Amino acid sequence: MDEVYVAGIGMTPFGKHPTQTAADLGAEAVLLALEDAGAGRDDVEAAWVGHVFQGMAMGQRALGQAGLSGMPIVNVENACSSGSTAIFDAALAIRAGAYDICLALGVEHLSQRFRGAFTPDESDAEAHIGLTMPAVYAMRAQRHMAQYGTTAEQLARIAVKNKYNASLNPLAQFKNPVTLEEVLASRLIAEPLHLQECAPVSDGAAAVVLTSRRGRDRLGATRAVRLAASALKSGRSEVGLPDMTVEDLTGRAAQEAYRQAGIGPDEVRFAEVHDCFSIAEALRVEGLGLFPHGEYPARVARGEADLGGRLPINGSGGLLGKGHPLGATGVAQVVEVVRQLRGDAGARQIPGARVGLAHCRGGKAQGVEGTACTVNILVA
Amino acid sequence: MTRTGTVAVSPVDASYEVEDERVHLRGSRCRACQAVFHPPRPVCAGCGHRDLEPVRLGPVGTVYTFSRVHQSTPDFQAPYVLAYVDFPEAVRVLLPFLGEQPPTIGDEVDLVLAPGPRLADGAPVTLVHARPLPSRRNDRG
Repeated sequence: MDEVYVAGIGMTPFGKHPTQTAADLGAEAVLLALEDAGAGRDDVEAAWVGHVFQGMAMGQRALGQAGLSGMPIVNVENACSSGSTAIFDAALAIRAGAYDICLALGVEHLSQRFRGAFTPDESDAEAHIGLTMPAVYAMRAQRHMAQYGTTAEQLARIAVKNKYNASLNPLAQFKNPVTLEEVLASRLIAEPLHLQECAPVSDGAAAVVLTSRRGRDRLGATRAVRLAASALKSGRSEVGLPDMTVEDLTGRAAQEAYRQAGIGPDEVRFAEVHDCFSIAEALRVEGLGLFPHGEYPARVARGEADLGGRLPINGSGGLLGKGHPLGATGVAQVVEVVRQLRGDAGARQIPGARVGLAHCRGGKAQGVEGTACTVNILVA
Repeated sequence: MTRTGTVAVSPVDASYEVEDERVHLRGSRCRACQAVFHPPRPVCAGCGHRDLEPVRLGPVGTVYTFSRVHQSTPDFQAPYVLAYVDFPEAVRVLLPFLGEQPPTIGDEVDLVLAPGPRLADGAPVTLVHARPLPSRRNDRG
């Protein structure tokens, strides 16, 4: 099987973009990624486009706006993992030898469509009872607190860390750090989670040019970074009374990614993980095997996951700080890992980082543990 | 006498039975692996077997976890309390919790029909709720 490289990256600022359409944002990210890869529009042999709520043929509209048409374009919906599933699909096609140069785009424009809490799909009975996404994670947080002695303050510190990191990221939605007191004083959304512990409603897009070794050499992309693993799993049906602090889905995606990359979790030097809520970051990194189960919130309070800590988590600001345009999120995580591995992360640069991991997991469907989860591992 | 019904705003919504004033949820049990599901389903999610029998859940369960929800969609009147309740049949069900005071993990609950947080045409929709067992209710005055 062929090796896969990220030869180019592009990303719009995340935030509220009332004067731009989803197609505008998608085109901007695509053009940046092509420029970064040194690729022209005719170099792109196929494209995968992840989004959740943008309607029919989002990919054709965004790529058309960027002047790309005619090649195979696949629109991908896989909840919050839509963008990272687009990367998974493109990488699979390259590994299979079908193409040498592909594009993966994630795009979402939510600020004109949504306000307030996200809910599961209306066809789930739980949506009719009043289940919201914050409530799902709030209930998991209550279990983490009861089982491991995690405190509301420790969870709030995850938001403080990520919003500080976001203040170092020019493309992040939130520009200002917040204090622990400010997080705890923000209004409750679903107990114990406060507003500042929930990812915001965001617009944005991110794109990567993925290549085979041959495609990389054809483009002369000397700054390409190797995608050593790209794993996708879906949540298993829930039977019986599972422990809601354990992420079986994250764990299985991680095991597959570690196997592909030929490494263990101890070799990961930094990670971008799906922190849609403060507690979510804890559940992810514990599921990935990066921190011992039940201990993450206490270790965040000791600074272990800070940019200067033992294992920096969400140095970009994560979803809490950078923003969360659903379909774009998984691609933006890979963009950030590539920036770090190239040494281009500016004020948030992690010195000497050689192995980075991106974890994306999202959505809610009744009866399964989670919808889709990807783990991508990149090696400098 | 047994009354049955569907707390219906959707065809997949929770179904229940009332017998001697006690509310039970309806579920299904796989005849092959004994896994129990709510709402009832035609294929076992555990083993794939297609032969499931009806089973009644409750009326008593235990709170696995909970949250008081302060922000929801315009279709719901916040705040309201939700709880995942574990039943002895080894199945976990999300239910609205009666009243505005949240339970604690491990509390025993039974089931009751009550107006829920969901609004249809401005009026609350009746839903099966979890409520504290009488001893607990007395504790709360």
